Amino acid sequence: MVFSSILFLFFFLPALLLCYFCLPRRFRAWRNGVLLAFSLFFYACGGLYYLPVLLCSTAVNYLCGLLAAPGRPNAARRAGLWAAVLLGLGMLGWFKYAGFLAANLNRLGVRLNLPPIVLPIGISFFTFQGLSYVIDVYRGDAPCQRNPFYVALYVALFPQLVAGPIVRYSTVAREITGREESLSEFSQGAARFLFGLGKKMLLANAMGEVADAVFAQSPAAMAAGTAWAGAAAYTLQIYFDFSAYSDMAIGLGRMFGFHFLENFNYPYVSQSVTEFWRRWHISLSTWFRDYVYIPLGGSRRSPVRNILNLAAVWLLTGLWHGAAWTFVLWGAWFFLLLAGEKLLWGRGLARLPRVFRRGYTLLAVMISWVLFRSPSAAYAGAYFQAMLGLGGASDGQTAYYLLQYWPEWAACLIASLPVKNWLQSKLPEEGTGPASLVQIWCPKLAALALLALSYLKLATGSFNPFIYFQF
Amino acid sequence: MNRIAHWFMAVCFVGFLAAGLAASLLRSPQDFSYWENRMLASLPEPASQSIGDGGYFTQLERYLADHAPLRSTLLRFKTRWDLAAGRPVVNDVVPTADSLLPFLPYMADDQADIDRWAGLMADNLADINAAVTEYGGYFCYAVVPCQSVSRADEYPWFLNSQARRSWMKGAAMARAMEEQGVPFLDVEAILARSGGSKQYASRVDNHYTIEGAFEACRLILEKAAADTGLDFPILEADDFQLETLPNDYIGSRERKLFNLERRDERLSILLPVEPVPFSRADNGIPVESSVYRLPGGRDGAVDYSLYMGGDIARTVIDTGRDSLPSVLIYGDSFTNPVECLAYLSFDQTHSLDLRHYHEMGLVDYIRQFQPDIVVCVRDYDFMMATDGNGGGS
Repeated sequence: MVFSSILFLFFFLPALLLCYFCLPRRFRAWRNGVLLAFSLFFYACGGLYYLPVLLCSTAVNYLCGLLAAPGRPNAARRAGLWAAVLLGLGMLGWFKYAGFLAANLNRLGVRLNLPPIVLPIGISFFTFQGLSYVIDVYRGDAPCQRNPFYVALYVALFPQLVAGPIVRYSTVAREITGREESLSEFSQGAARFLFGLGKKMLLANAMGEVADAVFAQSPAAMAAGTAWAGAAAYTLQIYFDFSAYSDMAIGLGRMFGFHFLENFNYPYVSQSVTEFWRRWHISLSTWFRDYVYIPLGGSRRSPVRNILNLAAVWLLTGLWHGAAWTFVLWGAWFFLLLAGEKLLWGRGLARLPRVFRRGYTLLAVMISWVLFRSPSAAYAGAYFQAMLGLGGASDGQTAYYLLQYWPEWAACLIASLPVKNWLQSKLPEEGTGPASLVQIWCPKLAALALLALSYLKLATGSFNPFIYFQF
Repeated sequence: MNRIAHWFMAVCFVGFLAAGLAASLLRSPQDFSYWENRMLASLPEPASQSIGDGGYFTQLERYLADHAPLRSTLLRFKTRWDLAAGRPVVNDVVPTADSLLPFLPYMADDQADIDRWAGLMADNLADINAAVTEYGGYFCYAVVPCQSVSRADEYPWFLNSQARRSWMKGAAMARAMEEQGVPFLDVEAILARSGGSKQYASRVDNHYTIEGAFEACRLILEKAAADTGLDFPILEADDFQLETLPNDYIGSRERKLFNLERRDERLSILLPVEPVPFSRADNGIPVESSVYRLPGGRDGAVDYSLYMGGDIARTVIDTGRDSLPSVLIYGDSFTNPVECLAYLSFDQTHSLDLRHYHEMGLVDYIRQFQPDIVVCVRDYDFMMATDGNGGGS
C-alpha cells in the first residue's frame, strides 16, 4: 500500500484515525496498540508472506537490545551488539544480496544455485532502524526498551516503515510512551502530508513518465537532447518522489505526535557534492556517518585511512541502494567526488562563482542518477555517450518532452528551489495584520489545493509506483 | 486566528477522507467506462496466494482507482485542463487543426526486427493459404491504410508519425509474402500512387471512410478476379449512391477527449443503385436484411458500428445467387464497411470476428464452409501483429 492511493486515503487512514483518536489520550498503551496493529496490517498489505521477516527482525533487535543494555556484563553487551549486527545484516544479505553474489560467482565459473528469493518490502530501512536501536542502547545513547511491543512499534511504525526516513530510536524513544497529540500538531502534520502527496502526484509521477520513456529506449541512437531530458527528468523524479515520501512520513508521524527528523533540505541548490550529501537523504548519510564512518576512525586517522574509510562507506552506501554493479559504480562515483573535494579541488571550487559551483554539483549529481537509473553499466556507458552527442544533437522527442510536460518542468524548477524559505524570510517573523494572515492561512490553503489536485491525478491516473520501495 | 486555521485544516482534511470513504462505499457500481471504452476493474476475490504475495491489495487498489468517486467528472476536467494547457498530446490523442490523430510512441526503425515480424506473420498466413488452396480456394491478405498512415503529414514536426516505419513494414511484408507465395495486396501502396489515401481517412477515428472502404473493396475484388479467373460483378462508383447522414458522428478519438475537441465529420453510406435482395444471419440467428445500422432519426449520434452493426462474431449474408462464388472476410473492424459493399458481388458472404467467434478455429471454419475466396483485411498498424484478430489461424 502506498500513501498516494485510494486504499490508503479513503480506507486505511480514516479507519486508523477513527480507532486511534476515539481512545482517550490517557490510554496511551491502547493507542500504541492501535498504531502497531495498523502498522503491521499496512506492511502485510504488501504481502503477508513477508510479515514474519519484519517480526523476526524486530524480535532479534528486542532481545539483542536487552542483552546490550548498560548494566549487563560487557561480554553479554558485546554479544548482544554483534548478534544484532550479524543477524540483521545476515538477513539483509540473504534477501538482498545472495542473488547478486550467486550471479557473479556463476559468472566466474563457481556454480551456486539458490532458490528464488523475493526481497521483502522496506527491508533495508527496518534493518537499519533495528540496528540503530541496538547500537544506541549499547552506547547508552538511548534507554533500553523492555516492552517488546514498543520496539515493534518503533521498527514497524507505518509512516516510515517501507521507505524511510530512517528514524533513530533516540529520536522517538520518549515519544513512544510520552508524546502529545494536539490540534496544531495534527493540522501541521496534515498540511505536511498534503505537500508530500502533491509532490508525488503532480511532479514526481510526471517526471517519472518522461524518465521511464527515455530510459526504455536504446541509448545507441539517442539524441543528446533526449538523453539530457531523460537525465533531468530522473533527477527531478527521484528527488520529488523520495522527498515526497519523507514529507508524507513526517506529516503522518506528526499527526500522531511523533517528530521525525528532516530528510531533505533542497539538495539541488548545493554548491558542492559534500554539501549535497548534507542535504540529501540526511537520515541515511548520518546513519552511515555515525554507525560506520566514525567508528572506523572517520577523518581522525591518517589521510590514507581516511580515504579507505570513505571508500568503505560509499561502497556500502551504493550497495544499500541495490544489489547491482551500477549501484556500486554509483557509490564509487560519489566516493571519487567526495575524496576529490576533500583532498584536491575542494578549496579551488570554493573560490569559484556560485553559479559554477552549483552547475558542477548538479552535473555530478545528474551523472550519478544516470548510473543509478541504468539497468547495466554498459547501458550507462552508452547513455553517457548519447549525452555527449554521439547519437545526434536533438530530435523531436526532446521538444515533445519539454512541451508535453511544460507545466511540470516549470513547477519542478520552482519547487526544487527554496522559494518557500525565501518568501517566509520576506515576511516579518511575528507578523501582525495581513502578514500574519498570510503566514497562518497560505500554507494550509496551499495544502488543501494540492489535495484537490492530487486527488484529481489519483482518480484519473494509474501511474503511481514509488521508487524507493525497492530499497 | 491560529487555532481557527488549525481547526479549518483538520476539519477539511478529515472531512475529505470521510467524504471519500462514504462516496466509495455508497456509489452505484459501474462495469464499463464509456469514455475510455473499456471494462473497469472488478472487485478481486481474496485468496491465500494473492494475500500472501500482496497481489490482492494491488488488485484492490486497481479496483478502487477505477471506481474512485467522481472519476468520470474529474477525467473530463483533466482533459479540459490538458487541452487548455496546450499539451500536444492529450489522452493519447494529438489534436491538430484538421484532425485528431493517435499518439505514436518513439521507436527505432529496426529493419531486422521488422523483417523478423514480417516473416513470422507470413508464416502464419502461409498456413491459412495452404488450408484454402487445399480445396481449390483463393486466399488474399490485404492491408489497408489507417488514420495515422493516411494523415502522417499532419503530425507536428516533433511527434513521431512512424511514416518511415510504415513504409518499411509494407515493403517487408510484401517481400515476406512473396517468399511464401501468399497473395498480398497493399491497398495503401496502390492508393499512394494515385493521390494518396488521405482523402479516405477519417479525421476523428482510426478507420477509413466508406469511400475508402469502397476503394479497398474494389482493389481486393479486382485482384481476386485477376488471380482466380472467377467471374463475379465488381461494382464501380457509378453503381452506388452516396448518402451522408445528418447525425453527429462520434469518432473514437473524440470520445477519448470526452467530446471536448470536435472536428465536424459525418458518416456516409453507399447504397447500390440496383439493390440485391439478401438474407442475413448474425451468429446463426436471422436478423433484419440490412448492412447499415441506421439511427432512428436525425437526432442522436452515430459511430462506426453504423457499418454491419459493429463487431459481430459471425455474420452470413446470402444473396441466393448460386452462380456466384462465396467469400469469407475476416480481420479488423476495417472489414465492416468492406462487407457492406462486398456482398453485392457474391452468393454467400461470411464474416468472422475472431475476437468474439469461438465456436471453432479459423482453419476449421474454412475447411467446413470452403469459401471460394478468403480475404483477411488488416490495417497498417496491425499488419504484422501475430496476435489479435487476424494474426493467427
